[in-house]
Amino acid sequence: MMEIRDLEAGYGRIRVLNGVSLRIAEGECLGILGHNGMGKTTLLRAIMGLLPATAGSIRFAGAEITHWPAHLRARRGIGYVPQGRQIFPQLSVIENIRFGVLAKGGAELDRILAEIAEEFPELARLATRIGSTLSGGEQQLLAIARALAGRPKLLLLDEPTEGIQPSIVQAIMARLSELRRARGLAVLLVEQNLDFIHGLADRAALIHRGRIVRELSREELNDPSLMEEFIGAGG
Amino acid sequence: MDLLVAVALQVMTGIATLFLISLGLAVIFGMMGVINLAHGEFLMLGGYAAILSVRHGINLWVAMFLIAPLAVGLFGLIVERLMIRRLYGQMVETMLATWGLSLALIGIVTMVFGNTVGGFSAPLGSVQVGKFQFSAYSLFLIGAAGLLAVLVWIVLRRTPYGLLARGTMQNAEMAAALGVATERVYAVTFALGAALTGLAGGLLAPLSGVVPTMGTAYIAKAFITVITGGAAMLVGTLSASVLLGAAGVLGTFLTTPVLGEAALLALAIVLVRLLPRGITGRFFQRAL
Repeated sequence: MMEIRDLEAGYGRIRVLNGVSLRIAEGECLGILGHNGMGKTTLLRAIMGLLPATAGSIRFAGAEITHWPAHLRARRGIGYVPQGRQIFPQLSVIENIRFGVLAKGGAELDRILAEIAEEFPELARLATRIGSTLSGGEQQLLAIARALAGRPKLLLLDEPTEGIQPSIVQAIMARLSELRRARGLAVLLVEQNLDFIHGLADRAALIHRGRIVRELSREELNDPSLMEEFIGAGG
Repeated sequence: MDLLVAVALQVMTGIATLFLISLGLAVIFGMMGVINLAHGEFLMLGGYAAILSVRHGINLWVAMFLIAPLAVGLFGLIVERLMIRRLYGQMVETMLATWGLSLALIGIVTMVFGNTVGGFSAPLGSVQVGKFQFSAYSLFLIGAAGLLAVLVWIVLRRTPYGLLARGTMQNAEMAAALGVATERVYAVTFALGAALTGLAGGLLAPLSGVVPTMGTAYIAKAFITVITGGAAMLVGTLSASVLLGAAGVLGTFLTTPVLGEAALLALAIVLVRLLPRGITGRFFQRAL
């Protein structure tokens, strides 16, 4: 579904990604682990097209998208749930979700809205609330629902548990794994919360100084001592 | 009683005028954050578009309602493409560029049409209010301002474009990551603001006459109105127009036109001092 080769990107003259290569198969969930400043968010922004790639290539759904603008990547099927959620603060919950549908042309608007209302009943109850008045957990669900409203094939999730209380983290994890099953969605999950990666990912990659330094299989993810060791090594 | 009605009509005309000259700026500055110092000249171009069309035998209503907004909207599209697009987020550069544009437009229009007042007489004749005569066109202007407020509300609140534009102005990067061609939304929104300004220029041409430098008389008032209105561009501009317009007209009525203007400015200063985030920073926060 997506293949990244030797991707380099950064901010101005500071290079953050130093040749990242990874693949995600259809319906697969790949977790990206790593400490702050190692390039996790930069990687997702480069995949989304919010940061230009200076070298390397990204292939997605049969197309070479390395130099495509962000909106065409979204239309090709990449959904993005950014760090900090970035819902539209002055739009209501339902408007945020409608935006997700309309941004991709607006086909089947009513059907998608009904579908989202079914998948996210708590958001349906908050439909007319203004985005900025929601709690962190509610905003996170809204950001996910808004991305799903565009019917992506691949979802980029940037630290969905950041700043969210533990009970809600469990709920978000359960919801995501349900959605993955139901929609056959591929997920690229950047996260520092090991439990979350463990609960969702089929495998994981450890990013350090802008490079993938180690890949972890499902079995290795199950081994807590190994995990601790790698995270320690990553820092 | 007649006097009261006459004054009330006068006040409403003042409010409508202020709202009309500010509405396009509310879109371009209030919504998009572009400090367009050529706003007054966009009004002037609308006025000239209407006048020239009428002189060439085009129906007056078509000239005001169709040609003036279309011409200035199209002009706005070109300005966005060639100039504004490169300057989003750069306040000082935008101010310098649009100031330059303003001076250039005044110069070019003066060269072509001369520094004389053009105009056409207001249609619709007059109505009698007791012993006072009142221009029917002013009444029409009040209705037009109200209608325009409703139309803009519907476009921004009820159409797919309106939702995409509002979201894009709040977070353009996120909008792009969801699939919006944000450059196009910016271009269309700027053109919409320019078209509204052109329409205002056309509608006001019969009342005020048109000169190349007329923009300078309007631009400060338009900015003051939008800033006093605050974040909710439509309701803010409308409520600021009501307060400031009423202050200006009543001040003029009770004293002199100069003091009336001063009253308008004084009230604006007091309002911005009391409500630093504008009227809608405190009231009508959920409005558009």
